[in-house]
Amino acid sequence: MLKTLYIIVFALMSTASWGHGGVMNEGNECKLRVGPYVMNFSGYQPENNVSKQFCDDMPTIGKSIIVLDFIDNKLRDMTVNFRVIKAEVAALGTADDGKVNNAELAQTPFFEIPAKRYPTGTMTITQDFKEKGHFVGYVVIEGENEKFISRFPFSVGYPNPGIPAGLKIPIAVFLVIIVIMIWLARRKPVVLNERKED
Amino acid sequence: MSAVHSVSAITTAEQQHRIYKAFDWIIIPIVVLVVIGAFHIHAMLTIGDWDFWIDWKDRRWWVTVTPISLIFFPAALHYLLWENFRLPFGATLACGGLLIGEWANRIANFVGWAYFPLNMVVPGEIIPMALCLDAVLIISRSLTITGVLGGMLWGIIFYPANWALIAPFHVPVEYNGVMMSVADLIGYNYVRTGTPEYIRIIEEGTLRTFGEDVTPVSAFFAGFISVLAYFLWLYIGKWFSKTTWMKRI
Amino acid sequence: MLNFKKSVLMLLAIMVGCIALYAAPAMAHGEKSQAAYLRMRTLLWYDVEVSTTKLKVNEELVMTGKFYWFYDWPSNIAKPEVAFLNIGIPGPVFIRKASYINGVSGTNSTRFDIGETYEFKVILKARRAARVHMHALMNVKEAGPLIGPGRWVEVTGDMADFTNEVTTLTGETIDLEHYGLVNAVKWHIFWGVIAAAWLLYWIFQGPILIPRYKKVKLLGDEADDMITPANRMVGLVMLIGTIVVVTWSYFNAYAQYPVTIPLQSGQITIPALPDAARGVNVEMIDARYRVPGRALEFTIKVTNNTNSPIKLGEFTSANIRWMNPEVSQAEPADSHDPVASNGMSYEGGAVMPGQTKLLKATCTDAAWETYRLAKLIYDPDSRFGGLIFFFDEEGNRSVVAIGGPLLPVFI
Repeated sequence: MLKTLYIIVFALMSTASWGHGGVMNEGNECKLRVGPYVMNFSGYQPENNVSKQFCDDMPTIGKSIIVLDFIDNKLRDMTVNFRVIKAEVAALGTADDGKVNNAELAQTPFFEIPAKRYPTGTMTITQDFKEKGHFVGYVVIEGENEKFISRFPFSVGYPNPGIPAGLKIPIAVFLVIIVIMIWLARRKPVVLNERKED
Repeated sequence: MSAVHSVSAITTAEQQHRIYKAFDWIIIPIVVLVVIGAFHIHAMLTIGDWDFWIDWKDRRWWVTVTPISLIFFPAALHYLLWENFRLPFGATLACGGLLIGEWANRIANFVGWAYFPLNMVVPGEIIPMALCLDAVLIISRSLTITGVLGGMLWGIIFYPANWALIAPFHVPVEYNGVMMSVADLIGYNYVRTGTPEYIRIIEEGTLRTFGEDVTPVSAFFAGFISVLAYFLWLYIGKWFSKTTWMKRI
Repeated sequence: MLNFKKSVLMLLAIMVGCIALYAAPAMAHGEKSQAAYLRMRTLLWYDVEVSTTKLKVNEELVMTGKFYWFYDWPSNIAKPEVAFLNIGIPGPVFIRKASYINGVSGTNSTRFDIGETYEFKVILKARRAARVHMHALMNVKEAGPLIGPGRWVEVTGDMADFTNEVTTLTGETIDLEHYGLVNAVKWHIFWGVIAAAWLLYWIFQGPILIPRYKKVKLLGDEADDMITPANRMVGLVMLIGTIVVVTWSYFNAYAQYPVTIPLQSGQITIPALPDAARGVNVEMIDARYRVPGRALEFTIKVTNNTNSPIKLGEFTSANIRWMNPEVSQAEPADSHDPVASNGMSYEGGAVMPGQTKLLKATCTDAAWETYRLAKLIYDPDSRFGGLIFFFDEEGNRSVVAIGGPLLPVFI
C-alpha cells in the first residue's frame, strides 16, 4: 500500500520532464532537441477559442500553428526541414519515440516544409488538420558538414488535459490524507480493557 | 422551602426522553443562532472585503487569510461538541451557520440596500473544508490528528473548492485599452465610493519569486497556520466549555 | 430592587443623551464635515461640469473637470502617491463605463504630482432610478476621500431594463449584471445540501445533548467507542466524496475556462497638464478673515508676463466659487452648488503686460460660515489656500494657486 502511495506522490510531484521523442516538456518550457541543439516548441490552435500553448499534442482538429524558436544561434545558419508523417499508433512514451526510422523518412510525408534557412530564429508552420489521428514529426537540420534528425510522435484531436499545475500538490496531499484515513477507519475498535470485563 | 428539592418530576423513561428531546429543541436553535451571529461578526472583522467582493478573491491573500481566520470557530466547537458529546459536526455547523448569515447579509444589505449585483458579492465556498475537518475527526476520533491532518486539508482544499465559482470571473477582457479580468471590471464598473481600487490587498508580496504557481504555496501556508490556529482555538474552546458549575444532570 | 424600573429608565435616558450628543457633530454631512484647511489645501477642483442632470436608465452621463494638487500640501495628510479617481454616489446608481485622467484610462490607481493640474472625464451609465447628489471624488491612499463639487442628478426608468454587456478576450459576450451567478449559487446549494444532510444525520439520532453528555462522562476514557464503525464509514465516504467532487469541479472549471488571468493591480503615473498660470506670477502679501463681515481680504503682488492686460475674475477654494461679475459670471448649477455670483471684488484694476502691481481683493459670502470654512482659524494649521483666475481681454484664463497664513479680525 505504502509503495503505491509513494509512486503516486512522486509521479504527481515530478515536474522535471516528460515528453515524446525529441520533444520534452521541461517545467514551463517545451523543448525540441535536434542533435546537440535545442529549439522551443509551441503549438497554437487559434480557432479553438482556446489561445493556449501546447506541447506536441494538439487537443482538437482544425487550423494549427507550430512555432519553433531556435535557442542555439548556430541553428540560424543551418537549413531546417520539417515534415509530418501519418502514423498508426500514438506515442509510446518510451525511448523508442525518439529513434529515427529511415523507412518512415522515405515515405511521402503528410506535409512538408522544404529545407530553408531561418535567419530570424523563428520557424512558423501552419497546417489544417482535417481529421484526428496520430502523426510523427521530423525535424532535419543541415549545416555545412553536419546533419541531425529529430523524431517526435504526436496526436491531433485527442485532448489530454493533464493535471493543472496548481492542483498537482493538493491532489498529492489529498491522496496521502485519504490513505491515512482509510487506514484509521479500518483499525479495529479499541478492545475494552480488563477492568471493564471483570 | 421544605423537602421538595430532591424529588424529581420525571418518573418514567418516556418522560425523560421527552424532556431530553425538548432540551435539544430549545438549545440547538439557540446555539445555531449564536454561532451564526458570532462567527459572522468574526468573519466580517477578519476577512471582510476579501469575502465581500469578487475582485478581492485573489491567489494569495484571500487564499491565505480565509482558512486561517475561519478555523477559529470550528476548532472551538470541535472541542465543545467532541469532548462533551462526541458529536463530530462542529466545523460544518460553524461554516453552515456562517454561510446562512453571509447570504442574508449579501442579499439584504449589499443587494437590497446598496443595489450591488449579487454575482459581485457571493460569499466564498467553505462547506467542503468543513466537511473534511469533521470527517477527519470522526474517522480518527482524535482532536490531535484532526488538527494536524484536517487542518492541513482545510487550508489546501479552500482554493480548489472555490475555483469552480470564481474561474468565470478570471477570464480576461480588454477594456478602454487595458487588460482586466472580469472580476476587476465588475469592481471598476460598479462604483464603490468607499472602496477605491488601491485599497484592495491582492497579489502583493514577495511570493512572486515562486513564479506562476503561487496558489499552492499560499494554500500550503494557509494549511500550516490553520494547523497551529486549530490547536490554539481548541484551548479557547476548552476554556469556554467548562462545566464547573454543573455537578449533575 | 425597588427602583429597578427607574434605574433602567435612567440608564436608557443617559444612553440616549450620550448618543444624541455624540451624534451632533456628525450632522454636518459629507464635504462640510472635513476640516477647512484640508478642503482648502489639498485638491482644488474647477471647471466641473455634468453633461445632463436628468436621464433614463441605460443613458450615459459625462462628468468633466480639472483638479489641481495644492502646492502647500498639509504635512499631516498623506501625499497622493497612490490615488484613485472615483465618484461619490450611494451605491451603484450608475456604473462607471470609463474614466480618463489627461486621456489615460483611470482603471488603475495612479500617482500624482503635487503642484500640478490634471483634467478628468468620467462616463457613467445610469443603472437604477434615484435622485442623488453626485460628487467628483479622489481617493488618496492613507488620506481618504477628497471631495469635489457635487450635482443633483435624477435617473428615471426601471432597473430591470439595465444591461452591462462586454465581450471577453475569448470572444464571449457576457452581461456583468448576472454573469457567473447561477453557477455560483448552484455550488452553494449543492454543498449546502450536503452540509444539512450531515448535520441532520446526527440531529435525527434521537435526543443528542443530555444523553450523549451523560454517556461521555460515564464512559470516560472509552467515550470514543460511542462512535460506531458505521459512523466512521459515513465519515470516510464523506471525506472521499468531498475531495473527489472538489477535484472534479476544479478540472471542470479548468476545462471550461482554460484562459484565465490573475486579478490585475498595477499602478500608473500620468503626466500633468502644462502650467495653467500662463506666465502670471502671484505673491501673497497679506490675508485676513473678517469674522463679523464673513469676508476674506487678501493683498497680492501680481506680475503679468503675458502680452495682454489681465483682470482678477474668480477665487475658488473648497469647491466654493467667489465670482467677480465684472470679469467673469457664473450662477449656481443647483440648490446645493455654492457659487457666490457677486462675491468678489478687488481694487487695483487691470495688470498691464510686463507690469507688477498690488491687488487687494475681498471675497464675501455666508458660505464662509455655512460651509464651515471660517473654522479654519481654529484649525491646528490655520493657513488657507485657493485658486485665483485672471482673464485677459480675449477671455483667456490664467489659473494661479495662492495660499498662506490667515489672520482673523474679530472687530
